[in-house]
Amino acid sequence: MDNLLSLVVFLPLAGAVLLIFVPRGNQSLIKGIALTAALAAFTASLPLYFNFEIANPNMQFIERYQWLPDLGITYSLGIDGISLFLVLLTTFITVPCIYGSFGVIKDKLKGYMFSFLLLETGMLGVFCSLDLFLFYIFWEAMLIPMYFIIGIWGGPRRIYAALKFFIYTMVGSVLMLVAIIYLYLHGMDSAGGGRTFDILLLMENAPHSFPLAAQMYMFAAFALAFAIKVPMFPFHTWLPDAHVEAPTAGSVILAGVLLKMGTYGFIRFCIPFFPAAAKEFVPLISILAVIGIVYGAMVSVIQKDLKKLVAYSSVSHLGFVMLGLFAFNSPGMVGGVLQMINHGLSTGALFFLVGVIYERRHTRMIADFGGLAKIMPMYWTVFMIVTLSSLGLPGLNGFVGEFLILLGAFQSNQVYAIISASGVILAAVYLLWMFRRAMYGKVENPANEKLSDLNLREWLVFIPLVIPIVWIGIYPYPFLVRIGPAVEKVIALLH
Amino acid sequence: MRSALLQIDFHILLPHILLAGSAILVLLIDLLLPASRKSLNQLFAVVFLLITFIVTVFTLWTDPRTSSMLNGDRFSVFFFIIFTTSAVLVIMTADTYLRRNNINLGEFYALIIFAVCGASIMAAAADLISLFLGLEIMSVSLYVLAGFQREKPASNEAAMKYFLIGAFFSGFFLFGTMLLYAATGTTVIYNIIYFANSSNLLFLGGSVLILIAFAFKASLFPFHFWSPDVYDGAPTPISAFMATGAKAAAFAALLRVFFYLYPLMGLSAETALWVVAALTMTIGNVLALAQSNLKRMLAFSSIAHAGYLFVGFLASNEATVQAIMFYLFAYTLMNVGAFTVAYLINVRGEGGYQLSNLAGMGMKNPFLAIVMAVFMFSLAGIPPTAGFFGKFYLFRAALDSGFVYLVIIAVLNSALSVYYYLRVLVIMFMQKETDLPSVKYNLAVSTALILCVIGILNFGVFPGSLMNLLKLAGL
Repeated sequence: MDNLLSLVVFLPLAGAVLLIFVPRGNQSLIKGIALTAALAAFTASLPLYFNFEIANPNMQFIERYQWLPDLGITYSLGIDGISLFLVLLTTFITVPCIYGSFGVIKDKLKGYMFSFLLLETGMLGVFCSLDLFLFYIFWEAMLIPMYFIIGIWGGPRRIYAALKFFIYTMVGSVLMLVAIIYLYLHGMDSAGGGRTFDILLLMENAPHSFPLAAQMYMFAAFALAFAIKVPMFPFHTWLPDAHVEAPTAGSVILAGVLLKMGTYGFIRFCIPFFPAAAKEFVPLISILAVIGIVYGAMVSVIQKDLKKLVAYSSVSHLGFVMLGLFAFNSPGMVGGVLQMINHGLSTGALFFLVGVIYERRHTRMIADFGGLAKIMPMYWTVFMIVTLSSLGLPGLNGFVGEFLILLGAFQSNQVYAIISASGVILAAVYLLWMFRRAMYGKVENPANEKLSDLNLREWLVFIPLVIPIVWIGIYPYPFLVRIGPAVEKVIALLH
Repeated sequence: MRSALLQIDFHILLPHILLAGSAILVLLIDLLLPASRKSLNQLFAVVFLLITFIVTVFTLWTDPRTSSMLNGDRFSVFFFIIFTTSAVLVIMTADTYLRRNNINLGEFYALIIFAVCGASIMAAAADLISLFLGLEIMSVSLYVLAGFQREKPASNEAAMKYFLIGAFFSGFFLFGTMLLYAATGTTVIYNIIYFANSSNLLFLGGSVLILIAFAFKASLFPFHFWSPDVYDGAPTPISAFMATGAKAAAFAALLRVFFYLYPLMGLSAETALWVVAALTMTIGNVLALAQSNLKRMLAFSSIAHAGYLFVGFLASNEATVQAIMFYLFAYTLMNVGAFTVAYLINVRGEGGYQLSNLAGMGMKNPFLAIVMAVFMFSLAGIPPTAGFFGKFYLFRAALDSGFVYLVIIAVLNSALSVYYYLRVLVIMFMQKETDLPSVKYNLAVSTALILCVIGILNFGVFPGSLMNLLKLAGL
């Protein structure tokens, strides 16, 4: 199929448009359409994996149509080994997000599902765009549904959190827009002029078109937008608010996919467009990543709120991803890309797990629980697998990613690697301590005695999430072999 | 060349004659209509405007002409399209407002059409004298319209303020014209450009005075102070027209006179105007942030938008004219829409423009709330709306001319503006419902709003169609 990527990107949008015509009261039809659209997008995205040419480092499934020829703007999509799994992660994780919201979201269900499907199209568009202008449209447009998801269906401080999320992202994005336009105006100068937003052409020519100073400014403008999204220390303060206030599925998608748009931006745009500047920025970004790893982990240790703990652990985990990407060697960068997927799965699952007890008890304070292992044994099992995956136990996915990242980081700078390794230990501290307090001990709170274990809907959410967690842990080869060539291509640009 | 004055080219005059004729017809028809049927005049006004529109597009667009008094080029036709769009939308939405406030109907529509006539003469002017004629026709109509709610003190105050300050700045324009005549011996714009000489103090003084007059009409810093009060006091549909149609007319005149003249004014002019652009955006946005009244917020935001447009003007390269026209067209759609929703929900009468009164709109009036969301996102410049593409186009032009810092100020401003546009959405969708009554409006209003939304989304996703037209409409 020639338009497979477009189909994947726009199927959710089609579902959203269909939803407009469904009366507000018909909740089961709304749920049906939303779930069908998400499942259809996921099914449509499977051939991307099976038909992917493994050894090919270039863009595949390319589509290209003229959009605004006068301005050099095209509608072009394509994926390589880096974006392939992010696309799959997005289509994959949206399904449990939508399914997991059934029964949880009762108010304004139609608007909720509409926003979610819109969000999915936006995220997929970001990962598939081969045109900078198109990329920017998706990047910004995606803010709108996320803003509503946090602001309408969120917790008590949702309005503050939604605004903060929007403004933070916006400030970064508009500066990136200036850099994008500048890149468009002068990015092809080394090839004798011409103006284009075409990412592939710019990758070839932009590195030679600018003096180092200009590269540094443009790198900084792009990097700021992405660093806010990742979020890197010190731009992370929007994240705990947004995570804590968002509804469960919103937190899942935020941690699972949205944050990855930042790290993806670094490896797709910042490094290939401005390789010389990227090298200059290595110390700064690595140090911020290391601070993020240690700081995020230390703040997680003292959290009393489960959701906040998971949110701060994301700051730490994404610090690892950034450290890996800026190691500029194969293990580090491959590990970084793989860890994006791992973090999406594990942290997504963790947020779902927090959601499960929050729906039952309407509290997320660790101190309110204790002894859940006895009352909810099935819940305990899933929680344990996910926690262990998140702290990087060998045999589960987190280990593979973190090991590769530390290996790569060690090869490029031992000091960063050694300090960051403490993040792994701290992760064990905050996760296991939280696990002990919530799961073991006596059931002291009588409200916890009657808690019901996982129901069918929740099982259907967790089973699909646990499968890849174990799969990547035991047999990461199919992932690494596809990520590898694309990453090698980026590394080649650096030399 | 001078003798061309004697031969009247009716081809060029056609839109202006039709507009003036429509206005007079609407006045006459109003006399014939029984009091209970006055709102039919709305229909007549729209039909006349559409006829003028079609005739103009089929004559002048396909066969552009020029003369030494008025131009019939595509530039003027496209601005005519902007004015007509603004007027048609305003007229379609005004009926509900007029009924609610028990205002006489007929001359209201006639005056709007007169204002359109003045505006299109401004955009078509080839001579400073005819430009002044258009400026006065438009301004006088707007003075009257601003004070249309005679029994309302705020409306009177708005009219008085607008009139006194407007007359004062008309004086600037005339004095500037005189100085330019003294410096170059002509009032024909094209010849002034030809004889321009930046070392001539008369020339510089004259251009600066005229520039100030336009800056006043476009509400650029430091001549913006009138606009929040006037927009606030005037009947809301008129505020919408002033913020879109009249502002577009000011920019049309600015481009006509200064697009070629401004580069000849020297570097110090560029520095000064750079500061004007930066401060216009910043002051508009910062003050809009502080507003708790929706109408005043929109008024201040329209100052900020004038600032963005002025950034595009400063670029003064081949993309400038297209970018400004695109933005003005998009801005017309979103701003008329926003002002319309603002007055529709103001069911409580005076003081009802408080933002807090919007609470719970999302549930009570979902249609209005959703279209308002589109207008707000477009005003904030978030894709996929026409507002985003307009901004992109303006800033691209400015970057192309090397205004990197100015564009950075502009984008930071537009990030700042997101806060107050989103606040409207926060209140509508996320706050507890108050005892908001559901709003009644007629078919014309909802049609106008839907047209605005379709336009905004269409030109946001497929801006190419409009751009291809604009490419033909350069100066």
